[in-house]
Amino acid sequence: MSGSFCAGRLYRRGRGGLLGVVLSVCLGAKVFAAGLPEARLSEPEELTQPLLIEFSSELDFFTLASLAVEVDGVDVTSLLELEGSNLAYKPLRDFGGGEHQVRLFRILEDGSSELVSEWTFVLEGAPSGQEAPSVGPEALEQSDPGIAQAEQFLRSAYFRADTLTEFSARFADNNLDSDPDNGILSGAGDLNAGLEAGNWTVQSRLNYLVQSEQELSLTERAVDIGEYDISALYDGEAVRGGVVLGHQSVGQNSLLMSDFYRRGGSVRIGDARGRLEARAFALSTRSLVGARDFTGLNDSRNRVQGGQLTARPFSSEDNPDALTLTGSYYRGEGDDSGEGLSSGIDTPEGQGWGLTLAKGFNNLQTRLKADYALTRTDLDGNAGAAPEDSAEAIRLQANHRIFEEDLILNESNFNIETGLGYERVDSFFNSLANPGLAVDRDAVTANALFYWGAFSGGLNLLTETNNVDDLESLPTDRLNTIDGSLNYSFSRQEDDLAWLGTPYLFASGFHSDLFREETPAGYTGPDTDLQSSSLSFGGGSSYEEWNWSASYSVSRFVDQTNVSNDTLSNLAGVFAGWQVNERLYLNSGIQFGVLEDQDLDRYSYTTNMNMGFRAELIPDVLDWGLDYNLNLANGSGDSTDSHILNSEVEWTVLPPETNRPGFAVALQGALEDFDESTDTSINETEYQLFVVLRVKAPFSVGGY
Amino acid sequence: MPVLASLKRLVVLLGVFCLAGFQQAHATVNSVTSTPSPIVLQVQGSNSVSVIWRVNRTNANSTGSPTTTEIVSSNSATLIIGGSVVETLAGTISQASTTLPGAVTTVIFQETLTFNAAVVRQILNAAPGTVVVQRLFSDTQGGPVTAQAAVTPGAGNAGPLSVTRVDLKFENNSRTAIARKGDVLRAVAELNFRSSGLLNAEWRIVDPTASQGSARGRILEVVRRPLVSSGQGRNRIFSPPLPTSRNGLYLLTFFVETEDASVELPILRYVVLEGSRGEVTRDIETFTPTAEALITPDTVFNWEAVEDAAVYRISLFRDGEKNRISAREVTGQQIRMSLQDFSLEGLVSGQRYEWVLSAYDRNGNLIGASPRTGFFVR
Repeated sequence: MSGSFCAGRLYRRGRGGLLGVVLSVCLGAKVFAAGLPEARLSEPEELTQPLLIEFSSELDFFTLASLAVEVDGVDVTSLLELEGSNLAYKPLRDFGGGEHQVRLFRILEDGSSELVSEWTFVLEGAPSGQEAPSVGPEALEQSDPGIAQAEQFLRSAYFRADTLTEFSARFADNNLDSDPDNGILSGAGDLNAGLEAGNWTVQSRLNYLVQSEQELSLTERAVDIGEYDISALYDGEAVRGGVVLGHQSVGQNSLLMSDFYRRGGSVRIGDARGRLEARAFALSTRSLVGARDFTGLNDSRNRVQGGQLTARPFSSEDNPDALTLTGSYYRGEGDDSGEGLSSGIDTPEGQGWGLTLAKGFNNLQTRLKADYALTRTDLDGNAGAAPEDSAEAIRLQANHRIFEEDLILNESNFNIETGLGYERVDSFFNSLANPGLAVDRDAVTANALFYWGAFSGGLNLLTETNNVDDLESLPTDRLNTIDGSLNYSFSRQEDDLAWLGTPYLFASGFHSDLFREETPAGYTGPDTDLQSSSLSFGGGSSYEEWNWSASYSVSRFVDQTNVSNDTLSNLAGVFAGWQVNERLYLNSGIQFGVLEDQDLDRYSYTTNMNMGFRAELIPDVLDWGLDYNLNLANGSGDSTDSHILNSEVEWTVLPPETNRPGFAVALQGALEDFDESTDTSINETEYQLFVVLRVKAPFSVGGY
Repeated sequence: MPVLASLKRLVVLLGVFCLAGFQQAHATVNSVTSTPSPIVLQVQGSNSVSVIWRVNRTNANSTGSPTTTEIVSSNSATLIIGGSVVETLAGTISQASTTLPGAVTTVIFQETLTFNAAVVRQILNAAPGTVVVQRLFSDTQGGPVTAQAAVTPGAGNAGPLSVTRVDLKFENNSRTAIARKGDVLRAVAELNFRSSGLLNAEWRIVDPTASQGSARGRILEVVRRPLVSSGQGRNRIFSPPLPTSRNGLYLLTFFVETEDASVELPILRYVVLEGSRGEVTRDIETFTPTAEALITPDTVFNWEAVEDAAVYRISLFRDGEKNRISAREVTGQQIRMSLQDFSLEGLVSGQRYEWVLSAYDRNGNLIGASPRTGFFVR
């Protein structure tokens, strides 16, 4: 074993003030004799410089190929570049200040590795941010305690804002359908703030939109918030908990509550070991934006409130199989509408409770989950004439990994995951906290997923019936489906096959059969007998500078009862992108479809094509982007064809930097040409041209 | 008296007969048919059904102008259960009909009838064959003629495919998004539907170059997918990567051809900023290894490609902790990797750990990450 010490270097960087003074010291290095020429680290002199591992003599290819390098715990072997006989590594951003560790390994024939050399060096300066090691305590101790405290606060508290404000003036237009103001002030931004103090962590996130034209605004207000959340979490030695206000999803997905991301408030508290946690919540039933109902709790006619209790009585760090029980309850009323949501006309009122149990076995080789929910819901509220329904839902799911440890087949890991499930949701089940749940189904599912190296696939089977409540006047139908998929991702191809790049392939298929199982006496509705199937496949590849993908799918729907027309759909698409150089990017894609109504013998053809480019005419100053879209609809389903041209030229007057706004002026416009073959009165060309002044202002304080 | 009473009854009957005959002679509405027949209602909640009435009429004029225009109308649509009117479903519909004298023509009315939850429950409890929607059609020359459409409760799969709920959001569940130039952003349309059929839909977008003015938008992608359910179904449809190359406001919608007129298509807004990245906006889908798998140096990590990715990184963490144990990076051209044994050194057999795949652009900005996935080592 040999070692060496590097001399320190001191120099000043252009930005960063005091923290910009970079002291690079190789604190220590260990080099292990391993039958290799002596290796030496040439550490970076600047935060952005590459590090270099130099060898005392030239290495042969096989030795080089057997080396691996780890920087700060990250295996960067794939990113190393060969400079002569030396290995160079340059991180994407910079190394960041603080102590860094470099380890050189040699991979042996059996796949194990041996440490060849190990070095550490220190760079003074701001840590690079996310996932970068923070400055060690030694560095803080060397400085003034007041500064250390201030630096500590800056690291624990942060505020970031990213904003865009635009004033657009429409100076030319033709044939516009609507007539918004010629001059419009618009914009948006998001704000993030956080603070760590002792055991408390406070974080907040908010976005806002600006729009002076009322018809185009989010909430008809010129300035309004979109979504936000504020959380204050306590993580103590014995207790942990917190409060969350704003948009949130409460608890785990279950039959009672699922995909319920709404504005409201919640409080939770539990023991630090995670064995018991209680949560209380109140959330709006609607998808809210804007500040009008900031808490989401002002409208009692659109609100649910309840609680959740989670217990893991036998959990411990080395017991992933521990039983988890979760009980939930809610009560409330309100419709399921709002921003991004569109649903029926009912405003239900009711309550529900649910219980889920989850348990693993043999290090989660087998996993069981049971989920039960009961709801009492009046679909049109207590004031309506419809009765209150009491309904249940139950779901049982078992998953099992066939091999406890992966098999090694042809040097690749192989295993199979299997699952079996049962779900029964009553005909009138309706949970206000799971409005999208498909009800009235009694289903059995089976699935299997395998992986063999980069080859993976899955198979799903389902059989379900409706009329779960056995209503006398309703028929009972049965649906059987089978679907499967296969994926294969090749590694990067080399040598003669390099032209293939890094390819991937996929294929999927689906078939279903829906038929009448039981028809009640006197039923006058239609029969049920239909089949549906589809097949899709495609692939793609990526290269150093470009990528492409292609897909094709065929779908057939056959209704033997002729309630619906039989249809056959063929849809194919090809897409490509090319980074010509650092200043020019081209993209193009085309999608072509044929929809055949087999009962009426009618064909509809759709063609959607787009192509465009983004060009940096003058680096960091003048950008130009242009997109052309063609939407054609021919055949029996003929509709309006459109040609749409969008373009923007942006001149950056002053580029934005953190805490210094930037300004840009843009000339942008759109031309839309519509052609209708049957009704020529629709034919028209619309265009509009704008000049836009942009203010781009990112702010950041603290939170290194 | 009985004879007199019988005669009176006969006279009344003859009168009614003559009156009916007179009306028949001058009635120009010959018949009315309805589609669908019967109207099948899903028993859960309210239903909105599109009904077409085809009114067949003859121009009774034999003299006068060569063509005449008459107003064909119906005052109301009533729901009748067991012979009793229980609800007025819709009001007056009318339409002008111009025909030659003596000619026969068909006037088509289309309307959307809404059956509220209470009415649907009444229909469910009624005897089969006793529920109808009734309209009386007449024109200025004669009438009225009664038109009835039978109504029956049915499973949700009766009739053509109908989308009943659209939940449009971005992949991180938000419904207003702030993105940065070059971000990979996708939206998700969660559809609830009844019955089965081929979904014919389009992702449509309005670019910033037009969003501050008037624009109909362009088709980003056509979606055709078979949707099947035994009654009610649910499906998630992901958008292609949304454009983020320009600053400004984008408007996005998922346009669905649906039979259910009660569902309006929501619009999502997102704004693309220039500034530095504040948070990850892209969830990367990983294919292997699966959750809670046993990981060795032979395990292949395999994921979907992310546009603009310059480097991918697999990071290993202790269960629930923030500090990374080790990691490996590969170039953005690769979408698979395995770990070396030194990345797994120090990990304890039987303990649970988590891994995350993250993607970085060429400027080192984090542009996507996978959810944390649990794993074990030998």
